Amino acid sequence: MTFKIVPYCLFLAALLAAGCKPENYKPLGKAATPITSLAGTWKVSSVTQKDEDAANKGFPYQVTDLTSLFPYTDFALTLNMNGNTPTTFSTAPGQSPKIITLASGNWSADDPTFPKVLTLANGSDTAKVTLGAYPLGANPSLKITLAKRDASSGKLLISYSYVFVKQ
Amino acid sequence: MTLPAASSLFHTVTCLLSNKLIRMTQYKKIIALCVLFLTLYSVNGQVTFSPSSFTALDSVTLVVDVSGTDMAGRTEAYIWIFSNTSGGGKDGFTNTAWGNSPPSAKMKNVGGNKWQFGFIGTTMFSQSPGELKDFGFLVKAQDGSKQSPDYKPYKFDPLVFTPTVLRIFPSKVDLTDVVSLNFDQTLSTDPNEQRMTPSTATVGIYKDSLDNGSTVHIQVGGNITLPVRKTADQKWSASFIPSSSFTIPAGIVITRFRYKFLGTVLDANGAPASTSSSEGEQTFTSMK
Repeated sequence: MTFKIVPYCLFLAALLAAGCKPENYKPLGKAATPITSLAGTWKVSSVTQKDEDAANKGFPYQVTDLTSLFPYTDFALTLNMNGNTPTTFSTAPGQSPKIITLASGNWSADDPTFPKVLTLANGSDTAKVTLGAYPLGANPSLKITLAKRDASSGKLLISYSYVFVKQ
Repeated sequence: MTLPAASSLFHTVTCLLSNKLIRMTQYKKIIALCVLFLTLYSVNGQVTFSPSSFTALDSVTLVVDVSGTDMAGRTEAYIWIFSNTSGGGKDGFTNTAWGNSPPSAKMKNVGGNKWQFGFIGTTMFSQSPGELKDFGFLVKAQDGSKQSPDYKPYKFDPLVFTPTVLRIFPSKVDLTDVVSLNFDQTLSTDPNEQRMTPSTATVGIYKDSLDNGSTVHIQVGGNITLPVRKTADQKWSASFIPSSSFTIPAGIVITRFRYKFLGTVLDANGAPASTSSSEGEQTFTSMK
C-alpha cells in the first residue's frame, strides 16, 4: 500500500490554520482597590499569639489562642476614608487589653491601592500594623499582625494576629 | 540702699542664720536620699546584652556598668568569665592567670564606667551548646589588684527543647505581653507536685539592686494571685499581662518575675492540705 503523505499534511495544515482564531474574551473590568475594603468599624473576633523564636527553632508550643483568656472581643477599630484616601481612625478598647494604644488620629498606607502596612499616627506617636488579608470576596474578615522584636538585634520574637469582623 | 530695703535684708539674714542648723540637717537628709536614689538607679540594669537573648552559638556583646564597685574610675578593665555557675562550669579561655590577664580579656571602654566585651559561648568555654547552661563574669584590673563583684548567672538560650515542669509561653516576654504560666505535673518527680490539685498561681516582679557588692533581686510590690485553668490531664495554666496586673513605680526597671502554683493535696486523714509547686523565674526581654 502506498502512503500518500502530501494530502495528509495539507489537511493537517488547513486544520491548524482554521484553529488559529482570536478568542472573544470579555474585558477584565475595573481594577480592584482593596484599600477601600478597609473602611468601616471593625471588631476583634479572635487573637492568637505566636512564639516566633520557638517556631524558628522548631520547638513545640508555638501558637496559643488568646481569644477567651482576655476580653479582646471588646476592641473596636474604626478606619475612615475619603474616597480611596485614608483619613482618620479611632479605637474603642472597652475592657480589652491594649492592642493599639492610640485612641484616635490619622492613618495611612504604604501603598495607595494594595496596602501591606498601615501606619496609625497621633502626633509623634505611631503604631504600624501589618495586614494579613484584605476583607474581600469569600473572606470578609480583616486580619492584622503586630510583631515584637528584640530591642537590640531586631530579631522577631513574638507576633500577635488579630482577626476583625466588620460591624 | 534705702532703710526699708536694709531692714528687709537684715530680716532675711537673721532668719537664714536662725534656721541654719535646721536647714543643714534637712539638706543632709535630702543629699543622703539623692545619693541613695542615684545609687539604686545606677545599679539597675548594670549588665546589658546585644542581642538581649542568645544561644551558646551566637555572638553576644555585653556592656557592664561598674559604677559603685572597686573598678569604678579605672582606665583599663579585663574580664574574668566562667560558665555554668551552679556546677559543671569551666573558665573562659581568657582566664589565663589572675595576676596577669591577657590582651584577649581586655574590655573596651564605652563611656564612663561602662565596659564592653564580645564573645561566643562555645568558643569562649570550649563546651558544647548542650553543656552550656549559663555564665557569669567579673571585671578586674589586669594584675588582679581590683575587681568588681560577680555578675551572674546569665542564661544561654537552649538550642534543643527540653520539657520542664514549669514553662512560660512565649519563651521570651516583655512587660506588655500576654504571659502564660504552665505547670506539667506529668514531668514532676516531687510527690506533692504530682498529687496536688492547683487552684491558683502567684506571681511577683523583681528589680536588680546591689547589696554589698553583689546583685540581688528585690521584689517590687506584692504578689498577684491568678486563677488556673486545666489545659489537659495534669496540665495547668494561668495567664497575665505584667503591665496590667502590676503597678510599676516610675523609674524602676523590672528585670524578672517569679511564679508558682498553689493548691492542695489530701493528707493521711483525707483532709485537704495546702501545698505549692517549685518556683519558676523568668527574665524580661527588652522588645520594640
